[in-house]
Amino acid sequence: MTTIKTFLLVSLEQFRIDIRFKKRYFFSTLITFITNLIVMAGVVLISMPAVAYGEEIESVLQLSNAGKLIGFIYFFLGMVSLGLAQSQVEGWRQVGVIDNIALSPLGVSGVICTRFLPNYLSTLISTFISAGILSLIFKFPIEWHIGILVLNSLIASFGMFGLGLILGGLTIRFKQVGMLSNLLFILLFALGVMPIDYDMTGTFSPLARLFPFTQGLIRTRHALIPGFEDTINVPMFLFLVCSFALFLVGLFVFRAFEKDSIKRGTLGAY
Amino acid sequence: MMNALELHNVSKTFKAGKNEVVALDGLSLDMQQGKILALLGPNGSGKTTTVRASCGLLTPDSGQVKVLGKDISKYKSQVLKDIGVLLEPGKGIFQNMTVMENIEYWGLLKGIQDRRQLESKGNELTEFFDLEDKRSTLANALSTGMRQKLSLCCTLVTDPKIILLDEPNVGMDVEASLDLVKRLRWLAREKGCAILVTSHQMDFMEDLCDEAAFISNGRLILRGSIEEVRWMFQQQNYKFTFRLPESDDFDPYARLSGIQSFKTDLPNNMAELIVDSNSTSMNELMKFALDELLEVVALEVVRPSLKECYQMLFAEGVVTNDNH
Repeated sequence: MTTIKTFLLVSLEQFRIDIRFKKRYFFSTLITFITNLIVMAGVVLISMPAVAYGEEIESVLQLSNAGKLIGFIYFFLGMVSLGLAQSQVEGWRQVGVIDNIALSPLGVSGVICTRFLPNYLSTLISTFISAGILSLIFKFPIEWHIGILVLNSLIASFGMFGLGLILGGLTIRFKQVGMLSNLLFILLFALGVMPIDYDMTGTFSPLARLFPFTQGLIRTRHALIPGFEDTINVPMFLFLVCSFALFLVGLFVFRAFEKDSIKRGTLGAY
Repeated sequence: MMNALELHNVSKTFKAGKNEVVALDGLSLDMQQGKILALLGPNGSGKTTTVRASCGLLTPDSGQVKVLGKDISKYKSQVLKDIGVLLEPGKGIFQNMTVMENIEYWGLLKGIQDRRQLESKGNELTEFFDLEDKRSTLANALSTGMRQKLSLCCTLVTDPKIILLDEPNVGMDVEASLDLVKRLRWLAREKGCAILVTSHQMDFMEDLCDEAAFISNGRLILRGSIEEVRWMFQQQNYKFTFRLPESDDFDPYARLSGIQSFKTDLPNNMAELIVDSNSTSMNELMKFALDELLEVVALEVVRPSLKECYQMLFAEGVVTNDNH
């Protein structure tokens, strides 16, 4: 019970820290935001030339654009959640605090988990603002059902966070798995912007039905794009189970590597 | 009295490629509440491994570590709050947080749930370590010594019963180092903390610690109170201070054996002679003074310092450390 309370209090503290850091390092926060905005604008402009025509956009392209923009928002959220555990392990090792964190009742995995929600929300807000600005600049129509987007992306990000815990665990053991995470980021990007068929008939459909990132993407596209609301073919139950299962597998793998590194005495070795 | 920390026959071997390095080789050690134990030994002797094994950051290959009577491998989460560990000099803090933010965050992580308690603990510790005017300063803007003090604040935030300190005075100036001795001794005497310290600064260790444990190749080779250790070496010297006679033929080397040093460059024409008590007795020394008609200013019994004991034990080849 005490550990659960500590977990909740540390999670709340992470929100405070995030806000404090954004204020303290405002310039850096602003630069990161502008960079993401430019990248997002670049993707919109390069992959969807039709947006240049603004409101005169053809309806089919409009659907495609809307779907791809949702995918791009998912990519940002998925990337941040996927990279969280690995970046924390590397960062804590560099600063020299990972051993001290391991000596807290939550352990390294527990403290990383307290960072998931603040991290997700911070990215969500910044991505929403970016998407909002772009939709205004390019007169890009998108149905803003924030509740649906948040719920689905949160569950999908949770699954991605689980996958990231596996990467984090590998980082504890093997130190250099940066290239692997870069590869996964590119795969996520491809999955985010590729036109996964709304009716789930494409080549990747069987995988997409089981992978939380694509599950969330499909569910959101179906819910937000007019005319597809009633065709959601990934049940919420399956989505939740897959996401939690990936998280649990990730947590198990991470803790196994954490325990192994304590046995070897190499946790803080950098 | 129950021991605060016990290591029973602890062994640990590290693999470095195809080689194996024995870090701990059946080490047994115990510490009582209210005592400060110096863990001494050359580089690679197993000091840091002992500290890490004592707090559960490293699992021994064999043997048992008990904290307050509980086996750390079984009750780690229960005993962690009773242990404060300072692992690497100037580390263990977040550089982009202020002094107070660091103390409060580490306190929260270690299970203090009351924010007011965290705040008062932060105020208390910053006063204790003279950091009260740096509370809002970012850790990366502090000097090395101050960062070390902040690391100590974070180590002590939960009022641990057992404190493990690996090189705690690194980067501290003489005044801060003496101050640290005072504060750690206060924690041991008044709060009953058991403190295990490793450092290569022998003067600091001699001022601070009640007991010393010498380890080499992961084995305990000598253990005792600082006084006992100094007696064990049987190298008691006499320090004899006198006014230098005017005669040119004054030569103590011709009359006394076992002269360790003879200084004649002291102010007011004074001289200082240090003689090994095993070679020259007090009577012989007095007879020498009478015969030479010396104006004796002082005669003291001098035992070796901890640093000299250490040098005799390791540097002069009594014990070698052949791990590295």
